Amino acid sequence: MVSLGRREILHEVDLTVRPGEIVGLIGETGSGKTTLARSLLGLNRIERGSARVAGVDVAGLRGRALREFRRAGAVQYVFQDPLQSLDPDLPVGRSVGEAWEVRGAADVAGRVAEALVRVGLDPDLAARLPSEVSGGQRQRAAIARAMITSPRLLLCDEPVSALDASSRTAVLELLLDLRSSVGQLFISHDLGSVAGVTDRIAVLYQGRIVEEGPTAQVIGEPQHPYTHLLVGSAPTLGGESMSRHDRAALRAQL
Amino acid sequence: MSLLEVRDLSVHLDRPLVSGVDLTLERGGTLGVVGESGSGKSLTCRSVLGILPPELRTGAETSIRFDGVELTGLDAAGWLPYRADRIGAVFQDPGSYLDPSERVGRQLAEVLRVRGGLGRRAARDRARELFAEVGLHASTVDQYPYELSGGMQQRVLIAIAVSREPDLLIADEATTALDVTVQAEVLDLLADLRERHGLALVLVSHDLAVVAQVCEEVVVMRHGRVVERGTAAQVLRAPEHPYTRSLVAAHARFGIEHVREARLV
Amino acid sequence: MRAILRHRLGAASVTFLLLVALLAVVGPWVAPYDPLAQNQDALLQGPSAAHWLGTDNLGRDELSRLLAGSRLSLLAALEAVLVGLVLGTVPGLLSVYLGRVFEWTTLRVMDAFVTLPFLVFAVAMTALLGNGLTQAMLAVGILVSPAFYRVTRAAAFPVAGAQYVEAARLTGAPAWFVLRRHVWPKVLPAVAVTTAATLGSSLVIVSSLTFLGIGIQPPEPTWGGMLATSLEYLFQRPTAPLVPALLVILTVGACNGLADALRDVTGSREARRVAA
Repeated sequence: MVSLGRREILHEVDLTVRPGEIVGLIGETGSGKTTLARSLLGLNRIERGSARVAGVDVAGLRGRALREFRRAGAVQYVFQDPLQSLDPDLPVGRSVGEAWEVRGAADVAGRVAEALVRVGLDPDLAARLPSEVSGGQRQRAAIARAMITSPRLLLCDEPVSALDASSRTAVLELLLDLRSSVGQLFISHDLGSVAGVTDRIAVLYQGRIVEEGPTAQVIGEPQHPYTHLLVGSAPTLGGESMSRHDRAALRAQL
Repeated sequence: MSLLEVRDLSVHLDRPLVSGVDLTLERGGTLGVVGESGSGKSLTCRSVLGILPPELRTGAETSIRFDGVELTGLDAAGWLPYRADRIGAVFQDPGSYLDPSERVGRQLAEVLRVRGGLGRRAARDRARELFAEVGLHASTVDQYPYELSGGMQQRVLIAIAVSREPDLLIADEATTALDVTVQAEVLDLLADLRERHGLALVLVSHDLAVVAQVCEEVVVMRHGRVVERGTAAQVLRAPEHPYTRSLVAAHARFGIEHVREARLV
Repeated sequence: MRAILRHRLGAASVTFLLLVALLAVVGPWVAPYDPLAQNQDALLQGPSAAHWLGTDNLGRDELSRLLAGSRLSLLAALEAVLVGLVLGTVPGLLSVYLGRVFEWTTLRVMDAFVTLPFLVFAVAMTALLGNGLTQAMLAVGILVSPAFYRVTRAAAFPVAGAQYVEAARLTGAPAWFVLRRHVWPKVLPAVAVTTAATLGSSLVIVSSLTFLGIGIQPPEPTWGGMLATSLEYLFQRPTAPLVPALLVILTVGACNGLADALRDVTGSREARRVAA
């Protein structure tokens, strides 16, 4: 479906995110999860098939039409590390309001304040540099930047992996909180860390979705050996969830 | 006599970054250190290894005894028989600890020749054995670091760290940059090595669950201090400090346990 | 700017450059004599109350010539820097954005410029376009442009791939918006340092060219030209080359000092960001 250069990276991927739900897309290095997210934004070309976001097929968009689609803001992306996704020399508010500045809107400052409040931040934070706020606040600001255009779909690419444990919880709570207003695709390599947030989970392995279903079902009764291995590898507080030998046996099956 | 005894460890810049840390590790034991960035967990490790950044120093009252010998105040020559030979270490981001222009087998053989006094041929044969022991294929010795995945690079570094058969291995966020399935493999490997060689292990991680999987004793650090300590089971079942409680609660709320418990109800 | 003035070397350099610039601007009005007026009664005189810096072989007042020459020399150096700035920075920025063909072509052109020797190229250009300082400095400007090109490219390259630039593109921002908003502020410090340093080297080149008599018509005073004339009459007036030479040395030194100060100031901001 999506190819980069001449090599096909994703094959026959079917995935639906409905309004008001959070779908977990689980995959490890090289699974193609980031390629999938990027192709939904027109950053990678889709060779075959379609990707409809809020009624628009992204696969066919090029140049001006793609820019118009992005400017409409129906899909937004939340990057893993807010230190990299926010311009270090610009006050947080400038980054958050960028989409409206591009649209040439009046009262960008008001919209920024509103967006910051919506993600639970003090509007005064807008004047500070990314380096002057905490990691959790930075990621909330990045989410505010994504939410400011009232998107239909939010693509969150490992949104809490770069955060400390304490801010992680706050950001996950925030995403849960936003679920009613925006459908989310939550991309992660760690099935264990997203289990409590997602409604459904799709497991991506070597460019294919090998398993998909409600979170409890995927984790409780994994069908594919890879999913089984993922569940068995996730660190839990209840001690080892799977013995070393079982894991080795599963690896041999792949 | 304990293998490692850290008493009242403090690390200072212009202000104290770490203070009042006590650690005890028996021969062949496992100790987990949990904390987030800035908690002082890595500085604690570095103090034990004697590799603090030059602008930092340990406090006067600090005592680090390894196998009965005081390590604080050792000079470079004094460290020689300890670091690498008796205390090994692996860190996060394995790629940056390997020379990108040299085959990984040679990098291991170099340690064996320089520190172990092995001949060229003996070192090469021993390198192959060690690679097999950490679960790498023998042909890996001829590969360059960039040809290996992160998990394989970390295995190479573990092979190097244990090549001198140390008594203690310090793993500082050694699995953080890896995928979960690879992390599980590396943790399995560490557990295997411990069983086979009676290696004592200090496992440092930001993730309480990772530590809980491998370690018997757990220390939780925050803002340069130890806020909680106990056996892994104790800390997980009845966390006392609010910070530890929040870590456990986060797992119960968002982790795999959340789904498991929901199904049980 | 304020940070530069707190920097000791920076403050000294800025002060000196402002002084020279002031002299270049108001020089012709404060000059005691017409710089071109010859006086057969006062040839090759040493410093005196009437002629503070003495007179040259045609009896022209050295001080007046120096003041008039400052304007010409500085303007010429500025011209070269401006030409280099535009010819280097613009393609440098675009090479990061306009795709492989443009990138490859500009890289090869800049490599070609680097291989050309300054003086020979300037001489050839004046032969081609006519003997004038403007033509000569156009040539010099072309030859310093690779410095700007490379510095701009090096600074813009990591920014172009940065996530915040990608985030901006995802808002549907046009290229100029991204360039102005995210890329230019990161490139500016590097360009400023290069500008200051290049100004210094351009002054040296102007002085060398005019010393050799390229790019000027004889009666017109320049620093290099005065140095050349005074050297011819070294026996009669051994101290005469001192003042023009010192002026060139100090001005170039001040340019380099400013470049260093700029680098220190912007560099420390960079370092602070990493530390945070």
